[in-house]
Amino acid sequence: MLIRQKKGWELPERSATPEAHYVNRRRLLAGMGIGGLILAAPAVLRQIGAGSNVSSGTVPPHFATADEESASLYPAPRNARYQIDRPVTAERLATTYNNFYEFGSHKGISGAAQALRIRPWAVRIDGLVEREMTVDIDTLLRSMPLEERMYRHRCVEAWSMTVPWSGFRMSALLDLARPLAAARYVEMHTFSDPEVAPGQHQAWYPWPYVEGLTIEEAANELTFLATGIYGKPLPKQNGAPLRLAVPWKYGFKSVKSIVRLRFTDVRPRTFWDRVQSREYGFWANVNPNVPHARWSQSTERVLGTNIRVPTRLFNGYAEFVQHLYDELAGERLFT
Amino acid sequence: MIYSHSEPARSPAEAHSQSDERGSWRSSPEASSLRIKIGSEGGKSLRVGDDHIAVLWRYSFLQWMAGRAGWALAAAALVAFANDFISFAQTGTYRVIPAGQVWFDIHVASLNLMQAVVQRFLHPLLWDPVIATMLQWPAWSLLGAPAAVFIAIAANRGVRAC
Repeated sequence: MLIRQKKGWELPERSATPEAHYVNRRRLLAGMGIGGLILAAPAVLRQIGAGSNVSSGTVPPHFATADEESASLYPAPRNARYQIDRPVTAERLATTYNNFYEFGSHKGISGAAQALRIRPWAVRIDGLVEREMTVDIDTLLRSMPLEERMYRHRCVEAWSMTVPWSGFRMSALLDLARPLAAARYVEMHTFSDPEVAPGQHQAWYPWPYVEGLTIEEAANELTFLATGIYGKPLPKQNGAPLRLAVPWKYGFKSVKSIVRLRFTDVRPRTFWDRVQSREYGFWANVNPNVPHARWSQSTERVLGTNIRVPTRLFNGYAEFVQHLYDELAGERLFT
Repeated sequence: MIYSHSEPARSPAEAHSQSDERGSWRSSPEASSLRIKIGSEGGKSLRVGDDHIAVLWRYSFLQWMAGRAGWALAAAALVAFANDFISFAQTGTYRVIPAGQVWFDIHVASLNLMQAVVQRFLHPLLWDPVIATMLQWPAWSLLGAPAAVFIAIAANRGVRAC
């Protein structure tokens, strides 16, 4: 007798999925995708309606919405003490290739940041100071010794640029704030306004963006509060109307659009220190021999070129700042 | 994906004639001339009829995977819902824990990296507002929806090869 044993793949006709079900399955999957888009549609439309043009690349005229009210203060006189051995980065590049996490992680920030309103703008100075105060930005600008300084800027993403900042040394602000002897740190806060900064809708991040320096770092001659660039008021995407410039540290330390300076005796928990302290710690001094968790810091791409140049300890400013860290062995000074 | 074939490799003509003799499937001469190569164990050639087996086998495997993923997601959704419920029981107010918060708490580095990758290499608007909006939804719903779909796919027994 012939016994025919069916193989596993020899299926009877009745096992086949009816065509209608098969087609429906595809429809279900398609529907899921469309459903997701529909649910997100109001937010998409709101974003488009708000005039976000992060992807169009049409935005800059990069000074179209710069702070006009302080325009008469620039250009400020150049301080010749801070010389640079590299060509100045093209203005258009320095004002369009930006990081500003409140507006996203992409490089179209120069468009998205135009939603920021920079007048009126008040700066709160509080904490361990002789007298807490809130000062209007234009009043502050007119009371500070404005100057222009050429600094190298080294981003933690291993690119660099060289720009002429306008502004004033932070030590002048310390003179105004008069911190108490107990104050050991200054904590700087960026604005908080989710209506204009979509990144701040992601409430799981510890907004507002906070950065900090020791009092000694803040008083160092290099530490600069920038209010302008290329002899003009600072564009919004570069941190208008007031930002920090600490050229021996990675760029994320240079907090933008500052609204508050708080003097304290406790080391600030900075934004990136809370988010990823292993990669972006409190000190974040530039060191070519200490790599980032995912890439080397030994060289940097000079913005506007395809050239990579060796990165220097403290971004080449060791003579000004090395002494600040002599007593800090054991600290993670370079992440 | 690798599966074994008990018979030795044959020419298309041999394969065609034998399959006709057995009558176990029908195959045209054109179809039998098509050959696919599967697996790395000797790179054995398979007849076109075996292509159907591969598809069915693969489908079955995907179903198995979908089932496992679905139940894992369902368990995570349940934990997220329980977390919301406990919070409600303790405070008296229902406070949704968004999916983004859960992701942030579990592995912030990947959340941060994903945003950068999506915004820089795909499109800024894909992250914000599309993904960012979805991350605002309750964690249990964002986990529960795909869990239901995966479980449904796994439960469909209409086509089972083995």
